[in-house]
Amino acid sequence: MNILSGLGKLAGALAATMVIASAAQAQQEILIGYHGPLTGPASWVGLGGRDGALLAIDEINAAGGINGRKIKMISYDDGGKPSEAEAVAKKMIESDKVFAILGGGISNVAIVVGEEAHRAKVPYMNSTAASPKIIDAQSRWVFTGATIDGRDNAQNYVTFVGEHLKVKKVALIHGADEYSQTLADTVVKLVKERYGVEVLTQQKFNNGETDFSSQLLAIKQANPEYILMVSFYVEAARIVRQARELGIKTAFKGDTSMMNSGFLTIAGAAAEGTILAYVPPYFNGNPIKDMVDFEARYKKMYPTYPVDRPNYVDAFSYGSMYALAEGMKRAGKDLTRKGLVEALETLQDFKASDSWPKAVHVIQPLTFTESHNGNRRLSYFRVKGGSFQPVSDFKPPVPTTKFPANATLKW
Amino acid sequence: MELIPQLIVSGIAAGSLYALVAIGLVLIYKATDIVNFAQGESVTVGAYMGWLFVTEFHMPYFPAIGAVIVASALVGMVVERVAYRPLIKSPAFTVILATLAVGLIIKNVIRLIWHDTPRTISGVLSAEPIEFGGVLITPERLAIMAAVAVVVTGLMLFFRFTKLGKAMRATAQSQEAASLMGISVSGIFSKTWALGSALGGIAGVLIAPLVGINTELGGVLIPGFVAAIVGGFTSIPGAIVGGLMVGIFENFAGVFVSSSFKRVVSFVILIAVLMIKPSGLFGKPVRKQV
Repeated sequence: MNILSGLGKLAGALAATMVIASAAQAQQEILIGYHGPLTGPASWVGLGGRDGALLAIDEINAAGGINGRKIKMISYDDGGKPSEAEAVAKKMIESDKVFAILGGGISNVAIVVGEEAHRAKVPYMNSTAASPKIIDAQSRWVFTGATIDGRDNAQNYVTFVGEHLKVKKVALIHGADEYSQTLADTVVKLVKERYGVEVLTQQKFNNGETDFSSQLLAIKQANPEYILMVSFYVEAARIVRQARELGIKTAFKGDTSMMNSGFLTIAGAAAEGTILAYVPPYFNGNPIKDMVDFEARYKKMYPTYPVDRPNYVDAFSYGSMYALAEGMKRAGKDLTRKGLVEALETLQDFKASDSWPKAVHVIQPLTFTESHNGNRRLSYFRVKGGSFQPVSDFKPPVPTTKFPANATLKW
Repeated sequence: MELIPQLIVSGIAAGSLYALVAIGLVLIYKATDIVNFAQGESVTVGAYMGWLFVTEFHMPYFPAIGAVIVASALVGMVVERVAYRPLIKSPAFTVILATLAVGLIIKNVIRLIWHDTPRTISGVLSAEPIEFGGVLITPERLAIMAAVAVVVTGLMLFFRFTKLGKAMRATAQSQEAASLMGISVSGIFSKTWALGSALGGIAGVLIAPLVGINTELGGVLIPGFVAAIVGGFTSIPGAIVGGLMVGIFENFAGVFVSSSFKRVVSFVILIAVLMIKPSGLFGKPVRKQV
């Protein structure tokens, strides 16, 4: 009993300190915490997320900030590990007392940070992670921004096959990793259910393989109208190249993990005609004004970055940071965390450039009025003349299935 | 398309690369008793050097192959001098661990310099298939198979007829006797590592136009390793047969059993060979005095 009441007092004291702290904060900068893998093999995700957000913050501050207050971001390396994510989340929340958190992390990490944010009642905007578990936690404090939920990705894949390709007999080749396996299995099930599409053969490979002749010869034997793929871009490039070597002329339809200039580099001429999906509306180098401006500003801010940046994670984080800023702006002068959440829930088809004249539009429009799953759209590209060209003759319908069904979000 | 012959031909095409990796492993093991876990990374290094020579230094592809062989040999010598020579008196196991470390270091240094952006060497030969009696093969793949045949023949002649080749064989048989005959064992070691590294480099520069270049290219070590063990780990012809067997069996298992079984089959062959003939198909039983 004594311990419990002691804890109660401590919590009361802590809450009081937090109130004082946030009152003091009201006059100063708004502190945003950022987490992502800044080191290790997934560092391209974490670094992209950090740098894209910093570019947005730079622009927002230059335009006068949020109702007169500047934004400051503090970044932490979560190493891509859930175990470190918890410590990083606690540090941001308890010691830095960040106002909100922006996530540039991988799925397993984002799930953990989401839980911590919910417990501490700190708004969390996940810009990169695609795991359904983030949304399924049903927290009002947790939002998923520019990225797409894995289930919506599968639904879009299936709609494209059934309503745009309009084929009836396909083959499927996919990686053996969990992401690819889950997506592939969902696609097989849904194309059959919704459009009566038959998957003649389902072939698997291990990531890092260099030879795909047995998988491709099995596909050739099955003689499909289209070959569907779920693969990371290096393996995908090897597969389409090797398919042409084996005399397979059937066209390929890939998923979002294949949209990388590395796919074109390795596959060369064999890539021609391949259709891919992408989460943002434009690809690097697309001659669309927003994209050209985005790349120019990025290169100006980070002149020493490698050629393949900014990548889509930069764009995700840039756009999601603007959504967070828009929420803070709409929440008004007396900014509170709860107010931010309620304001974010009013965003409908939000494009940064609608509300912030200097901003560019590089992600899909975000809607939080229906659910906290901000983006449900994909865009499609076809490899033509050695580059990714938008597929313009198909306006994909936005998925409407609710995840989780009849969800009520908890404060 | 004739499925069975096509599976065999495509299997040989993939298997000849595994054979090249296996030969590199066997050479080093025969001479030094070390299993080189960094052999996969010598493939990666060869591919990146090929890319540097062709794309950055604008060398034509074929001279670039020569340059890669020389440069890879040098890398092998340097690594031996820096990482393995100081361990010459240590148990073999220590050196084997050192090769693991060297592999990791090479891979991550490359990632540090060139990031994860994949590269390629644009092929000079056609990737369009030609048909021979219902079987398709591209000039590119044919050239790789021919190159592997040339390398293997060259190696055989080298070991049979050259003084250095004979000295290497002598050292492999007995280091003590070799040094009594006036052969510098450490010199032979250095040259063996150079040769092993050059073989990896050749594999890398040959395969690069077909599969692209990234830091994970060294993954080809696994099938190469299985090929070497199947062949007995001490025999060059064994390594070749092992490599081709792995390539062909993988294809058959992939089509007739299941694609998930493709990689498993190498290990099934491995276990089967070890159970029936523990010294490998071409190996001789080794007796060790305890």
